[in-house]
Amino acid sequence: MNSMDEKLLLQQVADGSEKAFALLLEQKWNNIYWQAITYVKSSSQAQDIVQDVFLKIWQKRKQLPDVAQFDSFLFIIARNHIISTLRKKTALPLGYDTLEVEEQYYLPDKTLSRKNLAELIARAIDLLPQQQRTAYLLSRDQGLSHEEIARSMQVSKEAAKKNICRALNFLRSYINTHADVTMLLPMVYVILGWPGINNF
Amino acid sequence: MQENVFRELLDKYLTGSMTEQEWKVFSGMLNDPAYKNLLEGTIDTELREHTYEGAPDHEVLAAIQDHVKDKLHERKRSGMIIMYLKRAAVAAVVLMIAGAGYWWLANKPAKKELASADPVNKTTIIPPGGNKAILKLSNGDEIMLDSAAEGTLAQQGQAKVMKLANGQLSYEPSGNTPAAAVYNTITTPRGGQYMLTLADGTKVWLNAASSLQYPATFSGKAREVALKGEGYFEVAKNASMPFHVQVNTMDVEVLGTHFNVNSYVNESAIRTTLLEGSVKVKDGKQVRTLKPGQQSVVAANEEMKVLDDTDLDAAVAWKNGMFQFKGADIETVLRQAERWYDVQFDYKGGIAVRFSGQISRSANAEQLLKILELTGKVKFEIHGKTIVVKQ
Repeated sequence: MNSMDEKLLLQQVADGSEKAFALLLEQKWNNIYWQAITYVKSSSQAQDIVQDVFLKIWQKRKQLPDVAQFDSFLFIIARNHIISTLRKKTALPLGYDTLEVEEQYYLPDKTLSRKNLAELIARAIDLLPQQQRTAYLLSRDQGLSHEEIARSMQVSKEAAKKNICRALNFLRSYINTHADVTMLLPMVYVILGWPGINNF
Repeated sequence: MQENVFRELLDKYLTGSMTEQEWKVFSGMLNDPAYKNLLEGTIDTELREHTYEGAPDHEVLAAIQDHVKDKLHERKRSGMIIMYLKRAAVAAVVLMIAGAGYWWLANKPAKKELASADPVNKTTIIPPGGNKAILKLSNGDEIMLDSAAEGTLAQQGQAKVMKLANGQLSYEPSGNTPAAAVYNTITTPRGGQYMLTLADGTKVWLNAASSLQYPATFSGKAREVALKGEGYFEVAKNASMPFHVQVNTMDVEVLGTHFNVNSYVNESAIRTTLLEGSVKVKDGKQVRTLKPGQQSVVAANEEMKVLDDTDLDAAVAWKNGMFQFKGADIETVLRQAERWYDVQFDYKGGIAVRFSGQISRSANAEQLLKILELTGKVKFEIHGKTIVVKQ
């Protein structure tokens, strides 16, 4: 979208058009969602962040025509929400293999057994793009450091890190959507919305 | 300020290769203003460069759009409600003035009417338990630990009993004169839990409705304590002085290790779960040595069983502030809730449902019950501290 179109869209949002707002969300949410999931390591929390960020934009819609760089404006709000969710974490988030499944409140008999989960993960790993799969497997199966992975793949350390993060994001999201949908009950947000735990 | 350390830890966190030890340092840094700019700058750059952006998931987008749309309309509605309330408030003031006038004329204090005018259906909230316990000293004195001030509480034998700033109880050796063993007992009520450090450095987390008897300082050939209810132990290593936990007739012998003992009288068996190290569980003539990940089950009039592949997280979830169930029957769930919320369930039996999942113990009882109700198999009616369970 060119900057003229964006200006026009923002003006419509400022005038209270929900349609324009939905369009804006559609254009901008994905980057924020993946950034959030990388940091908070939970698809449902990342969704909450995207929702909160856009609700904030809607609250501030009157200011939008005066904003010089909408992306910077959006990114600051998004970054603040990501950091505040991150700070609330009282425990190291578990790896992808337990995280999403345990976060959901699920009924027995429909739960994913460990074996099924392992198969699902194996399938997801197969679907990864070549570079991501290599980086991921070197990190997980071989336990190599980022430097070692970078050297063996002949890429920069940053690129190695990016590939591992993207691989993890994909696996997390794949498991989230492909784990038996019937096992998920609608109260995931209720549980996640509860205050942090810190009893001792 | 160590920016490089922070950067390195952040990388490890993002790529999922962080250890628990590193997490402790990292989560401290996350809240340290010294690293605020660095963290913000990193995320800003990554957002600008779309570093982690993957393929859009249309289901997720649809869920977000639905939710946002709901919220927008909810706001409008709540605006209308506020308008309505404002009008209602005006009407109420008018009524109150009229009412006051009536009282004035009737010249009656009308105290009873005032009391009965309180909302009848005021919902009471059943709060979760907290760090509560009673410490019984050797001379029989009792100290309420939740209300006791920080600092030295008592001198017991050769140990100073301290309440630390974080509320924990700690025994610190002071003085060397050997004396006869002096015993203390710490008891948690229903809805209470407590953590303490014994004189040898062993850490004990005591769950609700439990008690631990122990000497203020350890002497002789063995360290012996007695447990009722549930406790999690991180025993300080001392090979020359084995640590024994006595539970009824059962004895757990330890050299230095992490384990959980659940021995509530209303549970069907005493379960000892080993997380690290090695313990020997003795009950009468039966002796079994546990390996990490194993759980021994001692039930009345039955042979001791040792289970492999125990769900360790579930066994010690309580210590980490969680309820965690994996295919637990309703009785198990209700018993745990009774102990933590100090309530009584009126349950006639006959509800065949199993629960899995985890829930924070800082949630109040209503939140837990609501979640259980969402399974559609069970309903609760709260009458004060008694909760009726219905199908």
